[in-house]
Amino acid sequence: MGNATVIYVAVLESLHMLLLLYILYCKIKKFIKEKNLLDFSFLLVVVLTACLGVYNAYLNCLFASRGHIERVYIGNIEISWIMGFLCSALYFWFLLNLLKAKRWYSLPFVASFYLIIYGYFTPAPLLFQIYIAVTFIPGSIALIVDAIKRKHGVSFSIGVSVVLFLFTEAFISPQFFVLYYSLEYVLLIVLLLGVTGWWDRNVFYDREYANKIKNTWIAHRIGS
Amino acid sequence: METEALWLTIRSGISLLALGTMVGFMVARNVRQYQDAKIWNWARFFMIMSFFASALSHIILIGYHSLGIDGFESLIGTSITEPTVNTILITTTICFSSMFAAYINGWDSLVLLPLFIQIGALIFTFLIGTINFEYYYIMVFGVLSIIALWEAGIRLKDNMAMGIGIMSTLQLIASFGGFYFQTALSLIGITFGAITIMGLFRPYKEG
Repeated sequence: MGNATVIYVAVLESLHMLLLLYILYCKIKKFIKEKNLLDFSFLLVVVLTACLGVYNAYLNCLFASRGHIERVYIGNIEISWIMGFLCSALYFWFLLNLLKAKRWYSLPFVASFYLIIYGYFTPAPLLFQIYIAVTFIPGSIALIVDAIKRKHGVSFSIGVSVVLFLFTEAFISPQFFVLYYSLEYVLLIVLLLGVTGWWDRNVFYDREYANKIKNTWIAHRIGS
Repeated sequence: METEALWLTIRSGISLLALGTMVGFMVARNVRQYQDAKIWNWARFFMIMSFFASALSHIILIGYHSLGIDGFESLIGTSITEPTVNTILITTTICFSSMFAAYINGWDSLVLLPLFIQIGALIFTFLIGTINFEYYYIMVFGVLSIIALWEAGIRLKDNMAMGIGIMSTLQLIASFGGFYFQTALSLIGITFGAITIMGLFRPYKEG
């Protein structure tokens, strides 16, 4: 791999890492301020996604500089798969949370636990991919639909970023180098907009409700 | 050895009788309640399933020790660490007992957890065969369910949870002793269970 490509990949991935860490910082700050339980589960998702993203970015940098990478395995399972399973368990949990299926809450975690143990003994990438697709896709679609209904920016951005992530994975080969990175950045920007509250302020802005508050406030001021 | 087999038969026979009475009593109550008020009592259903699995396990023990049916030997195995039908029945007993404990404590999100883990353990043990998860399941969930039953008994002042908790504790203590100690405590435990189910054990009058 040429020097220019190495520098290019390193810059892109460093930016990627910085963005992820910034998103994480915003989320933690918001959680400390509001201390909301649902926010905490979102925080966990963001932490796991960020860890996964930073780890992958690090691997990509290594690959660009050395031409090969030594992946870390626990038994037969790669460490990024374990993080992927935990992420998918949380997404699946979101889906169940939205469906208000309280008694099924433990299913995603039990399933992920057994899959991790299975992966420890036997390499089964196809099974893992199927599981992740089955848990991520319905979870993220339900999250987007619910976010639009409830006008919730963070869940919307998480849902969209997961769909984009799955889409990005299809272009992981070197031929689609530019497209892959462009999609990754779109994904991060969507997530960043959600975490900083941009969606809430500009897209899911309830004009009628805001006007109502404003009118009440003006009426109150005139009255006094 | 002959005496031990005789005692084992007596123990299993009395246990089976008590468990049969308990299951019959609870099924009749549940059906009557459903007919009267159209309410299905899930707590009682979990206990019915738990006692039913335990009764099946005792049937296997009687079949082997008293009737000497050859095929039953493979169903029992030599110890609990072996994944056999008897082990599955013990696991099922503990599984439903844990579900009962979670349900009665109001831990809604944990009610199905023992069942999911049990299904996973079964798949792992019998289809994949790498670890005998059944054995670990019995150890971990056995203790956890007893703690949860005591918790429900003391915190919620629930007579049934308290009674089942005492019965399970006696059974657990029994498993650590020698044969005669085991037999004596098992019999005391199962008799206590039957008394509880019939509503005669009422430490909390309002419970």
